[in-house]
Amino acid sequence: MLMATLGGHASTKPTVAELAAITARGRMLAEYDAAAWQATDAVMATHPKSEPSGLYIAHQTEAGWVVAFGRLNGTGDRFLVDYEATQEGTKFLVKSFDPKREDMGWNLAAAKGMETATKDFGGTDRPYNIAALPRTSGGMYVYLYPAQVKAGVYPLGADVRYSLSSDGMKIVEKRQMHKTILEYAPPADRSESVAGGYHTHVLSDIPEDTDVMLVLMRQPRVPETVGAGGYIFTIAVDGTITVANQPK
Amino acid sequence: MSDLRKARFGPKTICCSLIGAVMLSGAGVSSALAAGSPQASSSSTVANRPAPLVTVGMVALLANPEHYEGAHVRTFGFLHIGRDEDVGLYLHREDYDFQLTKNSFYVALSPEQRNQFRGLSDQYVLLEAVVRSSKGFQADASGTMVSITRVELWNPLHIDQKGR
Repeated sequence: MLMATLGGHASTKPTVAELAAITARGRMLAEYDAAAWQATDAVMATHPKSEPSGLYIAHQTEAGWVVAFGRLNGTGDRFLVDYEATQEGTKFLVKSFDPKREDMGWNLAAAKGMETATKDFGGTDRPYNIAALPRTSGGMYVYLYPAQVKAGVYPLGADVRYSLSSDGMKIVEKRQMHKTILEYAPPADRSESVAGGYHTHVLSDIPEDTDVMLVLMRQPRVPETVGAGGYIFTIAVDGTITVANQPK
Repeated sequence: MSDLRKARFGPKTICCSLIGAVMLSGAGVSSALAAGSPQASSSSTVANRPAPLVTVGMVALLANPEHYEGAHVRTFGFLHIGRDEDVGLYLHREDYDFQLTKNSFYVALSPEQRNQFRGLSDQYVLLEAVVRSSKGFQADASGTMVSITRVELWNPLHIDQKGR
């Protein structure tokens, strides 16, 4: 049944290095997402006068994740920070800024990158999350992916990854990772257990960064099988990817 | 027959010259690094000067990437330019063929450089760059080459690299 849905032409077999990079990006994306929601919870727990609005920008430091909440100023040359949540162990410590802290550097570039990406992405009829990850080669990745709106139901699909210039102003590449949205939900019958999930790709011949993120965030943790480009990829529960030829 | 000989022994010839480069440059690297490091600088003029270029073989870089942190190096290896972060400088062609990624450095090419150097993919090259021991999204590599200033085909014996 699974084989019947795969079809498509065989492409060049992805390298170990290529799959390792997908795993690394997916892991970073999952960490970013977790840091963002834990930091949001920490800010809300301080009972702020107003809910944090605008953008949240996370970045990883040697000590852990730091998440800044704020918005671009009118001229777009500063990122104005209302709150900043800093990871300490398993908790996030919150600082508020009045007057707002004026950031340049990564927070400004990421905010502009998010603005460029969302403008290109357009409107949606469901909530989306956004994440910006710096690239070693300069520039950044900005991801737009559907947000989880129901506990225990994990959306995957209709997601895009942008590669942007280091100032966040120019789109270098737009990668539509998945076309339609799949909703992964646990079986209604609680006596049943889930061994794994699977889906096929029509847009690309390799697993995507958000496939790895799904495996790392989904509960219960189970592997995901992805059919793409004539190969069968298995994403293990730690995010590592293995590839096998499609059986003939 | 002649081509077969080259195919079999070509890489070894390059390998030997690489090892030679390691051994010849090895002694000079530490002193050059020390001279270029901020700690060794006694004036701001020296501190602002770009790090001197040192020739180092891949064997030395792979063995101790932390030692070369921030060093501006010239090295030689097998370049592969694939998708996204799948850009690596491998010790040998066989390290790429068998995906021995620990025997490689991630090469952080800008989009423009990626286009510029695409024609050198899957060939041995001379590469000049700054070494970082961090790995970014290429966690399986042994380090990263950033601020790439030069990539050239390295084929002194004119071996048909792509046709092999």
